[in-house]
Amino acid sequence: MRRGAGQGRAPLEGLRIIDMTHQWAGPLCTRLLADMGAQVIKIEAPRRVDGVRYAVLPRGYQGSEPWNNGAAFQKFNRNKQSLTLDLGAPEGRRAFLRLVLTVDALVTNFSPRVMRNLEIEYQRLRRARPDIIVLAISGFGATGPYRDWSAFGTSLEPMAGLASLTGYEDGPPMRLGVAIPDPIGALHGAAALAAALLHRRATGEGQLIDLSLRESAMRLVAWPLLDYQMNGRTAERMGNAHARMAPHGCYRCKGKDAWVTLAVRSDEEWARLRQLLPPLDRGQFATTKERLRHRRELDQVVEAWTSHRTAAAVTAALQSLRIPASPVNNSKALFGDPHYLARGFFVEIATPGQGRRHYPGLPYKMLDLKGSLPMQPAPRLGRDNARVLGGLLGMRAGELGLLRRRNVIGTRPLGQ
Amino acid sequence: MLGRKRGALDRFRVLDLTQYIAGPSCTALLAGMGAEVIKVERPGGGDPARRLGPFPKDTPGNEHSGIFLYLNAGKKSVTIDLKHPEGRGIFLRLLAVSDLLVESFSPGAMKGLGLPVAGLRKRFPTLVIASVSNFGQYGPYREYAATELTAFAASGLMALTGDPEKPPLAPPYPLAQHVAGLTAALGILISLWTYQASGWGSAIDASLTEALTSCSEHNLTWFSHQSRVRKRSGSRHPDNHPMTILPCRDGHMGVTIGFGQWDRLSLLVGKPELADDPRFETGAGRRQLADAIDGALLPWLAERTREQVLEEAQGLGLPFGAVLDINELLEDKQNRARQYLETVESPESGRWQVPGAPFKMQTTSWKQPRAPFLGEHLGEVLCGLLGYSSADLARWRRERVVS
Repeated sequence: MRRGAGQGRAPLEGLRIIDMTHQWAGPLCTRLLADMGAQVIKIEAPRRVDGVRYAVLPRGYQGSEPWNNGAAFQKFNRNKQSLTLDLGAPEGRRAFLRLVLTVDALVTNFSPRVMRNLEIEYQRLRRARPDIIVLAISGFGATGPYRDWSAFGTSLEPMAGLASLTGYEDGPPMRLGVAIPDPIGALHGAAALAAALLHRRATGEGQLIDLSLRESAMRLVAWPLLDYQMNGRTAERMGNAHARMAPHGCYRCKGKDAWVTLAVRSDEEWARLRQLLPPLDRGQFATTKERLRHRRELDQVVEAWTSHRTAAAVTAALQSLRIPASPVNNSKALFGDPHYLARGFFVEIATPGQGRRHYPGLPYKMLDLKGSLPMQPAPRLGRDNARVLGGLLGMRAGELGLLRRRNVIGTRPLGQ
Repeated sequence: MLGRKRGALDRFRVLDLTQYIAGPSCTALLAGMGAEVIKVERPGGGDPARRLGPFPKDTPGNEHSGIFLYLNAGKKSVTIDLKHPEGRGIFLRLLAVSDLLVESFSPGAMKGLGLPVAGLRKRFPTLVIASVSNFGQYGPYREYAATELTAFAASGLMALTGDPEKPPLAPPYPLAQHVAGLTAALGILISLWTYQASGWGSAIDASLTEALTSCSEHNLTWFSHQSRVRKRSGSRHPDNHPMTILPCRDGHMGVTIGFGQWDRLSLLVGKPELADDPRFETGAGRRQLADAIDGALLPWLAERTREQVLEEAQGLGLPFGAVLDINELLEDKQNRARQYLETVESPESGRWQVPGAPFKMQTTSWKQPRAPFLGEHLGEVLCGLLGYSSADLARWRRERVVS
């Protein structure tokens, strides 16, 4: 049998990464690496834990330790270790600098201002550890006039130009239902870190990666940016319509709030779709040009047909003719989707106090790993304090007790 | 100094069989970080993205498609007919000297060309192979057709996007293809890290739909933990407020506050009494009263331009963001200060600015030079790299094995 990762170590086993990120982009970035076997040590100060620990708590949650029971925290922090350490305290800072000597990389998503205040900028760390790789994720980047601006994914989507493109015809600019710059930045960050590791293996050089979430999201606007310069055209919002395809849209189906999307890319596809629709005037809509010109009328014809059918039936009929179509799936549909089930997209993780739950697994498949990587639940706050500070740094029980009494480490958020 | 910087990936050679947007966006990232990317195109037309646009003065031409020029910066182009036995032979010689193969045909097409992934892996055991497709290489929908719109719907993101009283909405930019390319790039880089050292190859199976579903926020955990199905709620966040888009004097503003910032927002709009109102204490409570809150914010916003709003809000540490039109990105102060934008050129028709490096690596370089003409590097690659003679090349040209 062929030897592959499935028969041996996890792909990133042996890598150690300090994760000083919070909320979404940073934690997702390091989770992509933790899922692949990297040892990711998440550091939180007892007086300032990751705010996402409290997101998506069970409805009316009255139980103990809410900071260990939020579902969103589980999703972004599985397979990691949890160390509490207050870098504002001298003892915490000393322990942190010793820890830096033992790791391959540090990932942060503090603003550049907080990095300076905590005195953990790359320029300082590289003095202690010349080949360290620091991935500093921020909203706008570590330089420039906006560098210290606060940013959330929901405010970067407008700043990246994305919101100006999204919306209904004649309507205001809109956000997507997810704060898309966060996962886009997370994926770019993980890729950049992997590339930096390859470079370090070849040359011994570490480096700083300055990742602006806004800049990584702006990679998506090349088309309208070029069209503006080449043709003076300012992109207009046009709902689900497309400049070069018709029909192209989202159509009502049988059922409550049920919808299907479909896209006809060519006259050949239109000829095939026409076989399904009720008879039309001869030649009507035959060319893309005509279909684009009579788009609204065409949409009515299509919706008159879809509205008596389920989204699944419309999709099956169109896909059998090789025409792109899909139901507008909600989260419930995704968890029962036969394709995702067949691919093992969702993974089941047993979480203390929460039972067995399903989460999205890897965003891509590595074929040698089919289902073979173990998934560990997200750690309770401070679970790995002794393992990291004692095991890795050799601190004795007395020292740990002192750090605990001074609230440099702990297993509860301060003030809770 | 700049000229002497190396790319992080400049010791890797990539054979690139991809077309359109998803696959090329993956190899564009690798090329930007210094990998040598050899794009194998179909003789005749090449990558169909050469005919996509946008075109200068709306005039199509095989070497002027803006999106092609952007996504293929710095790659080399060779045209080889993979259906011709000799073409396939040249391709296999190239594969033998490459670290990585990226392809974006529909699943099964590689097999149809006599180049099945399993067979290639047996023959080239250290090769990393990445496939990018709509739904992945296996599973019941593997052969389904898709576009950006239908992939967005399939992924679960469209059910969350748009106004409740209108149809679900999709964005017009190529999100699915970009994130699919990104996940492929991540799988590739992890494979290179792991397997290069141990002498194993790897196969990556990236898909538009799984990559997009992975971008979902908490809606998946809402369902798996609490059986709650999230729906679209316009620009408003479903359970927190404000995290929305509101009009101001000269456009629109992304109005967002972080945890514990309600009192600051009340100060910003000159209504400090709102900070003491217990109904507005939690995000969930404010979401219930979103209309009332927007009513309090709108008059203040209406008196101010985006620039004024940003200055005042950011001055208080509030994470507001202006809705910028695409042309405003060209003049944006931050983009200028960081020299974010790069130039693409088409020698016959001009130079334009395009998005640049998605991240700034300090020690290693990012490069985004001119995209190749169709078949521009045939001589360099076939004769220079593989050692074929110019007589071989001439014969292949005549027999249309290459062109």
